[in-house]
Amino acid sequence: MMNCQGCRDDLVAYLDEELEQSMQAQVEDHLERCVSCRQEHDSLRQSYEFTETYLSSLEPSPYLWTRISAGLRGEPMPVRAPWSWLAARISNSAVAVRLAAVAILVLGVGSSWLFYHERKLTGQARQEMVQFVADWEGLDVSRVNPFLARHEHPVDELEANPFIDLHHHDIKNPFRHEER
Amino acid sequence: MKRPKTEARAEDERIGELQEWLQRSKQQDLEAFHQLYQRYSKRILNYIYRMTGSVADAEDLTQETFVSAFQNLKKLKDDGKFESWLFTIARNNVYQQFRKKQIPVGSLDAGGEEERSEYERIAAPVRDPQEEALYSELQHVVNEVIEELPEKYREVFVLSAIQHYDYKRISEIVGRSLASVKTDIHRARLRVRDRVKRYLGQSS
Repeated sequence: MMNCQGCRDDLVAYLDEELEQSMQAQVEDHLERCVSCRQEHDSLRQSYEFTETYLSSLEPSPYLWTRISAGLRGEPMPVRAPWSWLAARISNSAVAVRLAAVAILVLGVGSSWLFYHERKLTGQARQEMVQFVADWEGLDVSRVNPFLARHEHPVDELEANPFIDLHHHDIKNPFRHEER
Repeated sequence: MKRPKTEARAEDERIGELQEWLQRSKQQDLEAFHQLYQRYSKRILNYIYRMTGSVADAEDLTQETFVSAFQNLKKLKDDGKFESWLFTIARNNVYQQFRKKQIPVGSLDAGGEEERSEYERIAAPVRDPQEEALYSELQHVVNEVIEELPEKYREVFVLSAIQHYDYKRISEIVGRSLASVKTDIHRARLRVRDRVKRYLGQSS
């Protein structure tokens, strides 16, 4: 008959279904009779269930096969996804802080430059743009918001575009000052 | 216990399919090898990831594993052992990497957590925010518990609890006796149980 030590030594193998049938029967028999081994069994089984439930797993990225097949075809093998070097470095918090600082600096300088550039455009170029929008919209120059007046496409091109209905649209015009 | 007929037939079909892919792959058929990749890549990736703790390393070493497998397939004598053979290649790559980086086996890099959460979000099912928070906290507990296992235990634990391999196959992969594998899985399971218990005791 199996004793407690023998039962406990085989509990994990029992839960993994690795015991031979006769041993399995002996463990089961012991568990039915021994409260303390049954508690040990139950707590082990609970931890099995816990890890099973909360275990996370990775999904292979679709890019991985591309890398492998490129390597097997003898093409130069990309080492990683182009962005992964950054991801790997960002995961290092010290580098992440530095990157964030650089990003803030670039954004700050960039937006200041844009703002300055926008304000500077008060000369002839701005006037020409305002005039262009006013003509196009059939408005008085004074009613065109100079900071929104910008057009990248020649009107002809827009006229020719079958997807844009210049004459029958009902969209609020951002160039037009709201009538008060 | 006898398997039901349909289950047995499905298993036979699976083996037949696998053998066909292997034969074609041995003739350098990349499409057939893609089928093998699709069947085993997730397992290999997760095994390596659990051993190295880095998503980037897991991807690189998975790539190396499959490239090396394809190039050496002709050396595989017993097709039935393909899976163990593939894992052995992956395992060799992992240990080679450890030696190259001269890092203690299985010590996890600082970036593991951020990289991991990025990937896991993709596969995570949708839950309500509170449930999600609890779920990811418990996932974190499990990850930590596994990471804290000594490498010798972690390896067999990953193969048994995560990959669900039987002891015989694990002993083939790690090249150790069945008895030693059984002992280590036993110890790993007890450690995991104690750590989880301690955590749940603390948090309740």
